[in-house]
Amino acid sequence: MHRWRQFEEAAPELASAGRAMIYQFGPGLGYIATVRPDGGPRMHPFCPIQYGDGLYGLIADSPKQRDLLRDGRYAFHTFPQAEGDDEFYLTGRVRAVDDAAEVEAVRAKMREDGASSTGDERCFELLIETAMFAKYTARGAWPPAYTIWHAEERP
Amino acid sequence: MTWAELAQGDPELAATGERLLTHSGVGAGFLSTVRRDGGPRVHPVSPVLAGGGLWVFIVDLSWKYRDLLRDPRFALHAYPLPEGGEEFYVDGIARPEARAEVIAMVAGGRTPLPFEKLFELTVERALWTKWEDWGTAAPWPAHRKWHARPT
Repeated sequence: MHRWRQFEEAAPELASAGRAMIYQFGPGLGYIATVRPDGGPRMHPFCPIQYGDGLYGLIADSPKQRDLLRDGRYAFHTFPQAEGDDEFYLTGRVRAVDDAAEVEAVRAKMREDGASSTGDERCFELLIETAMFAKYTARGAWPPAYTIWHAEERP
Repeated sequence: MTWAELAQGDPELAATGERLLTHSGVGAGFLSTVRRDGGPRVHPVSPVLAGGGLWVFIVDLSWKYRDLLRDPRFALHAYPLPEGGEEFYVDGIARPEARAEVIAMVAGGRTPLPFEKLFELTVERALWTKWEDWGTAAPWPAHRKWHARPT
C-alpha cells in the first residue's frame, strides 16, 4: 500500500488527474464503498482531503465508519463531472489516524478546502493499492482510455 | 422486493428515489459490488425504472458483471444533485434477467449490444437523506428508511 505522496511520485500524471477530479467542485468530493458486517457492500459520499503526504477522510460515527474500523478495505470514486464522464478510482485499505496533531491538521485542511467538520469524526488515511483514470473522448462515448496503476508489481 | 413493492410500501420514498435517480434526464448512479477477494468495487451505471422494476445493463466484459454473478449483493447510490442537499440509496440483490421480452421492455426501443447483460436490482433497503441547513457550516442529515422485511 502507498501513501498519496508515494503514489504521486510513482505516477505523477495519474495523481494530478486524480487530484483535479477530487477537487473539481471546490472541496474534495467522492463516494467511498466499504464492507458491511455481513460482507455486502455499502457506499456513501464523503469529502476526501489531500493533506501533506496523505489522502484522508474525516468520517462521523456511522455504519461506514464502523465498517472501516472493522475491515479497512475501501473503494473510492470521484463525483461525476458536470460536463463529462471522466472517472478517477482508488482501492486500498485505510489507516485509522489517532495522532491528535495529525487529525487536527487534516481537519484544518478540510475546512480550508470549504467542507464542514463537526469536530468529532474519526480520521482515516486512504492507503492506495490501485488507481485508475478513465478518459472519455466525448460525452456518451465508450470505451474510455484507461490508465491503471498498482502499488505492487503483478505477475 | 421489486421496485413496485417498494412503491407500494412507501410511495413517497419511491417517488423521491425515482426523482433522484433520474434528475439528469437519464438514470445515473454508482453501483457497488463485492470483489472476489471480498473487498468493495464501485463504478457508475445507468439504472432504468421500467415495468415495476429497477434495472441495469452491465457489460459482460466488466469486473462488476463477474462480481454480481458470483455474489449478487449490491449497493446503488444516485448521482448527486448539482445543488446538493439530498441523497438516495438502495441495497439488495441483483438478479440476472434473460427473457427477451423483458430485455426489450427495459431497453425501450434501443437494441442492447450482445455484451450488455440485464440485471434486476431487487431492493432490501432504501434510504433517502435530506440535509437540513445545507450550505451552512453545520448541515445535518434527516433520514427516511425502508426495509423489505423487519430488522
